[in-house]
Parts: sequence; structure tokens; C-alpha cells
Amino acid sequence: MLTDNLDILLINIPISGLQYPPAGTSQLKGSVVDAGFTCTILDLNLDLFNKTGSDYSKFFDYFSEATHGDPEIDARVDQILDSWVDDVIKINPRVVGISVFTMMCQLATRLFTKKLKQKYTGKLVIGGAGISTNGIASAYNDFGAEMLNLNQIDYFIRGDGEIALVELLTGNDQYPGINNDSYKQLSLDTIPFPEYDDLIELNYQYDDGLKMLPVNGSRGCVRACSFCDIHEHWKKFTFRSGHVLAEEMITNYEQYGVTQFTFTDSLINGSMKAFRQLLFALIEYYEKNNLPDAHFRFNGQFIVRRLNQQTPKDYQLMARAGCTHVMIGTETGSDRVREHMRKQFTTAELAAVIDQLDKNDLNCFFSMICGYPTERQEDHQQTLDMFTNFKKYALNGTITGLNLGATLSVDEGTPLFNEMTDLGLMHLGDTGDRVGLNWLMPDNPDLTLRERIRRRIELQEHVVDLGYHVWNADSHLKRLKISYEKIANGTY
Amino acid sequence: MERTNFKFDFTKAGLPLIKLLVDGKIYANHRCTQDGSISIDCELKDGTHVIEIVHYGKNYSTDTDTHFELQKLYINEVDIKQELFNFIQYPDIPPWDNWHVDNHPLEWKNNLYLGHNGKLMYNEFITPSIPWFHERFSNIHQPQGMRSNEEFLQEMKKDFFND
Repeated sequence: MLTDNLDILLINIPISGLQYPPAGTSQLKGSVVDAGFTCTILDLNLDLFNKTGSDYSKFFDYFSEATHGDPEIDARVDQILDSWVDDVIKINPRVVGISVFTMMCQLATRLFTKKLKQKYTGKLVIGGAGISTNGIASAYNDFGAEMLNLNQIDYFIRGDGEIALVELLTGNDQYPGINNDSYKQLSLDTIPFPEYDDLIELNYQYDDGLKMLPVNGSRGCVRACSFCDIHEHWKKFTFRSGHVLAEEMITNYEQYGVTQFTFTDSLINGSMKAFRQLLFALIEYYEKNNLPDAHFRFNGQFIVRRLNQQTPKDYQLMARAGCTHVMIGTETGSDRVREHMRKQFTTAELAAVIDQLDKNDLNCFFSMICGYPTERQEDHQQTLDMFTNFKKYALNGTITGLNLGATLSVDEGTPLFNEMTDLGLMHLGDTGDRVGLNWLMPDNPDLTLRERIRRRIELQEHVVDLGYHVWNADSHLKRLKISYEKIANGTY
Repeated sequence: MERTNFKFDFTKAGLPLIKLLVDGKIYANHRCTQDGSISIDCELKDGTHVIEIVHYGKNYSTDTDTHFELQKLYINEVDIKQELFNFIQYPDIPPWDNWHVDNHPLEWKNNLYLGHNGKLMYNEFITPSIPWFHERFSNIHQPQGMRSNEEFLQEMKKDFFND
């Protein structure tokens, strides 16, 4: 199957999730194959899991830069990287493309490309949100530029890569987004469907052993939350029509037998028109094919809308179409703080949404931000109270879990960062240092980093006592503790 | 001990007499005059509990239409939804009824309609209730490496709650 005529080898690099095949490389494969090129995908992220077995968590920590300095791990990483280089040399593609999905993929990319460049004579290109240093903010693509300057890669691609990569394969390295920031945002309905042939049979950590595939319905967001940098990357919200989304899901069902899907975009209900189209199209497919309601199961991120924008009928349709679980950026229990965040909903509106989810046996997951700059003690208390009031939904499984986060980080590219002066938000570090957690709001002087961490701990203890499941808290708290110590000793 | 509230939503016909018992203790004894709900508060010791809804006093000759049907049960405000169908009905069928002729069962599952005298019984509720709710209603699949540990939380608390 693999020949030395292969046009491009696409690689998933550690560290990213293992729950289902990654979307990015398969999406790109769909585009390059549609343009007539040959392409294969190697998931080295999954390969790391397979090669390290019960020691995987040590390598997870190593590549996510949570630990270093263990000679045994260093030696094993070296061996693994060498084996990956050998794999690429055997395949001998014309181009190697590495998907740097998030910042967590940067260390592996750095180490792997350094070794690969010594033996491989083809072209090396990287892309993905992780080529930015912090989050996905386009103005700070240090990593891509840095790798280029180090001659460890030949190209980086900013933004949507589907057309840029095809252009690169045809020899046009001047296309917008290749080695520069002036990329074009694409019309998503024109992009070919992803191809999962190389990955679908691999041993991903599927829930209940049921194969699951990602689906991307949109890029960008209809909201402009103060703490989020998404608009730096995707200036406008673009989305695929519900019919096209349903067609992709049905194709994956008919081709691979997959009935479980997860939406990877920032929100599945950014366009209510497209969302309803999707629900109706799926229900219609079930009816035409004598399949039960909810034959497919899918989940995704979800925004709380005004009550007149999303009606009880919508939730009934969601249940019938198979939407089982939504992730809601709740952030706080204080309407005052949430308004400053520009979230555009109240706790009462959130409660109405949860009630509808509960009535229709749909589940949800909250992500939270503790210690927002304008959060006062009474706001924090409102967050605690909100969870007390929602306790019944935690106990009956409607709220499946909480991500309490690692308190508010002021990141480059976010409105909070861009408007620091106007907001009166003070960076406590030296000019040029990252702001991150190292800030103070003079109007709210009690909210020191220590107090933010104290509230974060208090919130976790409170919700656990109430019966909520908290996810990933150890990792968040460890990061908080390390950051606190670094800030205290001036090494943040 | 855990303070526990049970709220029973019901519909009815006639004027059924209903007793609500938890672990054999009567918490309510009602003549139901309209559809509605009955709420009781109990202090429960740790362990497994028996919840009973007893329909009594029906005269099979004169109260033929009388019945009580359990629609929902909320425990500490949580609608237990499908768990309701784990109630088992033990009808008190009169000895002259043909039901007895072929030794039909006197333990009915999936039937919350008390048309005869008799009782609905549920013996699967356990306190402390939070683990019971988790076991019955949570459908959690935590991704690898994303767990939360009480010990580390307490360690952080020591570090950040002492000035």
C-alpha cells in the first residue's frame, strides 16, 4: 500500500486525545486525495500509547512538558523518535505534513523534526492551532516561525489548511497562509469530506468500544467572550449547512458502520438554521431507513441562547436526532461577571436550558472559570449557590461533570489581553513576559492569585460534596501550584 | 443519618386511601381527593431502605373505579425517572377472584397502577444517597488521565488555606 511515490504522509504528533481518530489529518487527506494526490496518515500519538503501555502517563507528562530530567524516559523517548524517523524513511513520501494540534504537540514536533531533518530529504510542513505559542492566536505564531528559522521545517501553514496544502503540493508555496499569517478563511461546504481509512480500525480508546468519529460543523464563534482568542484565528463564524453535515455522518455510517460522533467545533448551535437542518435531516434518514430515533449518537459544544431563540421543540428534536451530550461554557454563577465576559446569558436562562435537557434525557458538561478579574466574593458565592441549586441535575446524571479549570489566564489574542489598559487590568510581571495568571485588577484588589486559587479549591470541595463529578482537577491544580511558585520566585 | 425527602406524584380515581412507609414506619396516611403529590421527610440511617406505598380500604363492590397510580418519585428533588419501574406491586387480590385459579403471580413488575388494595414496594434505595445516585444515574466515561483526586485537593487546601 505504501510506496515511494506517495505524495504526502500526514502525521499526528503527541500529545492529543486518544478517544477517537483525530479530525485534522483526515480532513486534509480528504482534500489532497480529492485533488488527485496520494496520501497516508500515521497516528504517532496513538503509536506512543501503544509503545509505552502502562507507562503511558509518564510519556504524556514528558511530552506535555509537565516533567523532565528522567534519564530512563529520555532514553526511551529517543528510541521512539528514532523508530518514527525510520518509519517515515521507509515510506519515503515526497512531503511530510505534521499536525500540531495544540501547544501540547510542540515538544514532540520539535524533537521529531530535528531528528527527521537529518535523514529525510523531502519537504517538511507543519500546521494546526498548535503552531502558535499560546492558544490559537494568529498574531503570535512563534512556534511555526521558530521552527522555520531553525531549518527544522520547510513550511508552516497558518489557518485553514485544506486548500493551502493542495497548493503546496502543486508547487505553489506563495499561497496565503504558507509561511505567513495572511491566510484565507474557507467556505466550509466546499471542503471534501474527511477520509478515515488509515485510522478507523486502530485501537482508539472508544467509549464502550463503539467507534466514534469527529465532525466539524463550523469554525469561529458567534460570541466574542472576553477570555477567548478564537477570533484572532477565525475572524468570522463560518459553518457548514446541516444537510452537508448529515451527509457526512451518513457517509461515515454507511462506509465504516460508525454511529457515534463528536463535534469538534466551538459550538453546534451557532447557526440555529444549520443546527435544525442537521436534526431534521438525521430524523428523516432514520425514518426513511426504518431506523429508530437516535440511531446515531453525537455530542458537541453548545451555547446558551435567549429563551425565544431555542425552544422546547428544539430539545425534543435533539433527542430524536441522537444528540446525547452537550458541553456548556457556563464559567460562573454570577450574571454580573458573565455579562463582563460577554457570554450573553443569565443563570436563569441556563437553568431553563438544563431543565429542557433533563426533560429530554440529554446530558451536559460545564466548563468553569474561577477568579475572573471582576469576580468579588459575592459573585463567587453565587457560583457556589448555583451548584447547590443545580444539585439535582448532578445526581440524576443530567450534568455529567465539571471542568473547573485553572482560574483565569489572560492570554494573548483575547479581548481581556487586548483591552488590559482600558479595563485597568495590571500585568504584575516584566514587559515582554507572558501575563497568564500574573495579573491584578486594582478595582478588585482582594482578588490576588492566592485568593483565586483559594476560591478554585473551595469551589471544587463544594461541588464534590454536592455529588458533582469534577474532571481533570489534579492536572489543573498541579499547573496552578507550579505557576504560583514560578510567579513567586520570578521564573514564570 | 441523612435527611431525605420523598415526593410522590400521583393520579387517582375515586378517593383512594394511601399510606406511605419507609422502613416500616408510616410517614403519611392520606385519602387522596385530587391528583397531586405527597411529600415526606425522613431521617434515615446509613443502609438500604424499603419504600412502600400501600393502597387500602377499597371496597371491591362499591369502589370499583378507585385506583391510585404513581407517576413520579423525587428523592431529594431528583426525579428518579425510569428507576420508578423497579417498584414491585404486590396486589391484595380477593380470594374469590379468578386470578388465583391458575396460580397467576402475585408480584407485578412494571406496573405502578394500584387498582386493587395492595402495595408498591421499592427496596433498592441506599443512604448515603450520593453514591447511590451516581451508581444509578451517572453515565460517566472519564478520558484517560483526567481524574480528580481528593488527596491532592486536600494537599492544595493545606498550602493555600493557611496564611
